[in-house]
Amino acid sequence: MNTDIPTTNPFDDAIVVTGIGAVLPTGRGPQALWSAWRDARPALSPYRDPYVRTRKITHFGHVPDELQEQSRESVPHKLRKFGTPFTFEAVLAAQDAMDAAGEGWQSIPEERRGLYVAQDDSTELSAAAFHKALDKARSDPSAQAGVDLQRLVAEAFGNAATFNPFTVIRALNNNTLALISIAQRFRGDCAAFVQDAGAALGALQRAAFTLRQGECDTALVVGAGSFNEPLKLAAQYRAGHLSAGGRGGAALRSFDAERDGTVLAEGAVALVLERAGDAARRGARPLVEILGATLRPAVEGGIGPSALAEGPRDLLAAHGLTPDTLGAVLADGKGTVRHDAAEAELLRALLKDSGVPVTSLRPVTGTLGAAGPLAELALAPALFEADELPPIAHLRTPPDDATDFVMGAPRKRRIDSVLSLHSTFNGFAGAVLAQRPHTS
Amino acid sequence: MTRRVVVTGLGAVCGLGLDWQTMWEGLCAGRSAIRAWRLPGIEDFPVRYAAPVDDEAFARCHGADADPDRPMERRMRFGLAAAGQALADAGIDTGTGLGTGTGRGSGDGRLPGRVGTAVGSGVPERDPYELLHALDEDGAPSWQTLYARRAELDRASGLFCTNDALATGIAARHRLRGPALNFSTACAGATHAIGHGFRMIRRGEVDAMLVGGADSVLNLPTMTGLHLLGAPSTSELFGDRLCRAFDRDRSGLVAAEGAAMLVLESEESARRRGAQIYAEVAGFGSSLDAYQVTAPHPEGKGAALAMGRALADGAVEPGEVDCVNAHGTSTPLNDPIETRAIKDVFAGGGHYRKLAVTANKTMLGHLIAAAGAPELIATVLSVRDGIVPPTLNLENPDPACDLDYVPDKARHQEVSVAVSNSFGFGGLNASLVVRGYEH
Repeated sequence: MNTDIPTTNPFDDAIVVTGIGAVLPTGRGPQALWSAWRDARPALSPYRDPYVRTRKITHFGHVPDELQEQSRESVPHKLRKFGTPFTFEAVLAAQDAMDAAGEGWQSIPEERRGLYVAQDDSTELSAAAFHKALDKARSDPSAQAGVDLQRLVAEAFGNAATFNPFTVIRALNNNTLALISIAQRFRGDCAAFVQDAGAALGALQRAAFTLRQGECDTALVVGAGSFNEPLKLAAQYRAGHLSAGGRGGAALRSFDAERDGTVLAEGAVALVLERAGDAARRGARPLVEILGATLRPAVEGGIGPSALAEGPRDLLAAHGLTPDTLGAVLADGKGTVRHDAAEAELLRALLKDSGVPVTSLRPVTGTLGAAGPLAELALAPALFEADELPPIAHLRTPPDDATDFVMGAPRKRRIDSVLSLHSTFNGFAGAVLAQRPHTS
Repeated sequence: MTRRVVVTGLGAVCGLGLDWQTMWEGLCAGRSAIRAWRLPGIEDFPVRYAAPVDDEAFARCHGADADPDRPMERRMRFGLAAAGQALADAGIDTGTGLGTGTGRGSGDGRLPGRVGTAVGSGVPERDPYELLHALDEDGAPSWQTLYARRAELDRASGLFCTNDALATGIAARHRLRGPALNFSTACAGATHAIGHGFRMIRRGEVDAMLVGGADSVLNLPTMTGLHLLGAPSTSELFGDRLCRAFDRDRSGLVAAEGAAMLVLESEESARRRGAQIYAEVAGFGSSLDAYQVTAPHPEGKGAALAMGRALADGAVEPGEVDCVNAHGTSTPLNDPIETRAIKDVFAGGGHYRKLAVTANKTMLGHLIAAAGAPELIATVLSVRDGIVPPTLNLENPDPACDLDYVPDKARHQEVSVAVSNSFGFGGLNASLVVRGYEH
C-alpha cells in the first residue's frame, strides 16, 4: 500500500472493480452478457463433444467456437500444451479485464499484483485413451476382462501416442492460476479454490481482505470452468439435476412450475479489484463496489433454506442494508426442482414481503460453476447504468409466494445495490453484496 | 482487529503413524515410511516406492469404510480422521461425540465461537470404471460383465467425489458453521489453507479454524500422470532410502498419502477455554513465480519472496529464525533452488550458515496437496520440544546444496522461530512462520 499519500477519504479503502472481462456462452465481454440477459435470449445450444456420445445430455452453455479459438490464441504458444479450453478462456478474460482497467494499472509492480482464482473441478482424463481401453474391453468376452481392464487402461495411459503427458498438469486444479500468473505477469499473493460457485466467493473474500491489508495493490479475481467433462456430466445426470431438454434453448426455467432441471455451462469471468483510493489516484473509473461475500456450508444436512438465510442477512446487516433498502436480488435459479424450491423458501425467509424484485441470469447462461458469481458482478455496472432489471427468461408460473419475481419485460427501477445468491451442488451456500460505487 | 493466533490441536494420518504423536516420534527417531510399493494388480509400473498409509492398521484404528455402496475416497477417510483427532486434541466438543476426553485436549469442551475450516486437497480419486460408465451408452455384454464386478455406485457418488468434498465433509461431520474453504494450489494447498485460515483469525473473521490438508495420489491415473511428467523417482538403486533431499544422487519425489489437521485459534479464545497452546503462528506469505508451469524460477525468486513476506508479516527478523522446514522434495530442480532462496532471504550476517534446515519428506514422502500440513505440525513441535528432525539419506551432498540439513539424526537445540515452506507445481509458493508461545 502506498503510505506516502495520507488516507483522508473514508471511501479510499472501499474495494472497487475497475476492469471486467468475460468469455461466456453469451460471447465476449460484459456488454454481450447484458444484451443477452436484457433481451431474454438464452445462449444454450445442443450439446456437442468430440469424444462423448450421449443422448442424455441434450443442451449445454457452450462458449462459441470462434471465441474458444480467440481464447486459445490469447495464450502464449509455449503455454498451450498445459491448458484446457476453459483455462484459455480465463487467460483471455483476464487480459480483457486488465485492458479495461486502464493503462495506469500496468505500472503496478508484478509482486504487488494478487491473483485469486476460482476453478471448477477438472480431471481432464484422456477420453480418447479410455475409449481405446473400452473398445478393447468390449472385444474381450472372457471372465478376465475386468482384471485386464486395469492393464488396458494403464496401457492407454502409458502410451504417449494416445495419452497427453501433460494430462496431470491439465488436471491440476490450480492450472488456471499458473497459466494466468505466467501469461499476465502476476507474482504477488495468491490463492486458488475449487468448490463450485463457492470458489468464486472464497476468491472474492480473500482478494478483498488482502487489498484491505495492504498486502497487494491490485487483485485479479478469476472464475473459470466447464461442466463439459464426462464424469461431471454423468454424475449430474444420475443425480437428476439436468433438464430433459424438451424446450431446446429455453430448457432452463428458473423458479417456473414447469422447470425440470438445469442446463450446465462453461466460461470464464475476470474482475480487477483495487482500493477505491488507488483507483481514483490513477484516474480509473470504479464500476462497482464490492461490499462483501459470505460462504457457509449447509451443515445441518442438505440445503436447509432458513439456516442459509443467515449468511446473506448478516451480510446486509454488516453494511447497514435491509431487504427494504436493497435495489435487487439476483437469484441463483439453477432450474432444478429441489434447488429452486429451497431457494424460493430462502428468498421468502430473507425478504419477508419487502418488495425487493428478484431476477436470475441462469436461464440465459446456464449453470456456470466457478464463474457464476462473477458473472452477476460483471452485470452490476450495467444494472446501475440502465436502472432497469431484466426478467427471468421463460418464467410463466412463479412459486406461489410473496416474492416479487421479475417476469416478462425488464423492470424500470433505480438500483444502487444488488445481492446475488448462490448455492452449490455440494452443500455450500453464499452471497455477494455490491453497490453503485461512490464517485466523489 | 489484529489478534495473535495459536495452535491448540493437532491430528495426523500418514505412513509413519495414525496419530500425530506417532508421526512426531517417528520423525525424531529418523524412521522412514517409504517402502516398496505396487499399484494393485499391476506389477510392471515403473514407480517402485511410496509411503502409503497402513490400510489394516487404519481400519483397526478408525473402522472400515462403512458404506460399500458409497465408497469414500482415501483422502476423505484420512482427512476426516485427522480432523477428528485435531478437534479432540484441542478439547473441542462439536457435539458429535468427538472432543473432550478423547484426546489430550485440555479445553473446557466448548466451541471457541465462530469456527470454520480451510483445507488443501488434490485431484479427486477417480475410478476408471466410472468414466467408462459415463462414456458407455450401449451396454454391451462385456460391459455388463465388467460392471458386475463393482458395487453399483449410488446416485450421488459422482457428486460426492469432488475436490471440495473434504471441506464439506468436515463441516458437516463436526457441525462447523463458519466459513468452509477448499484450496487447490497443488503441493502448496495445505500451506495456503493454513495461511489463509491464520489470516482470517488474526483479522477477527472467525475465532478458530480447523486447517490442513489431505491427499492420496497412490492410484493409477494420478501416479501415471505424475510418472509421465517425470516427477517421481523410478530409481531402485537405493531401495527405501530413495528420497534423498539435497543429496547428489536424488532422482525425484517419492509419493505418499495421508492427512494432517491443526486447530488454529485466537490467543484470547484459547486462554479463555484453558486450552493447551503448542506454539504461535506468526506470519504467512505467498507468491507466484510467473516463470514456467513445470519448473521453479531458477533463482528462487518466488520462493524467496514468499519467505520474506511471511517473516515481514510476522514482524520477525531473518536473524531470529533457527530452523527452516524445507519443501525439500528430492527433485533435481527444487533442492538447489530452495537452497539458493534460503541463502538470499537469510543472507544478512551470513545467518543462513546458522540455520538448521530439515526435509521431512525424506521420511514422510510427498503428501502432494497435503504436504504442508504434517510439515507444519513438525515445525510446531520443533519449536515446542526443541528438536529438529533429520534429513535422511543425505550421504553425498550436492555442491549446490550447502546448508546445514541436519543429516541422519535429529538435533536437540532451541528453536524459537521456524519457517515452513511449501512450493507447488505452476510456480506457487507459500511459507509460514511459527514461534514459541509466550503470553
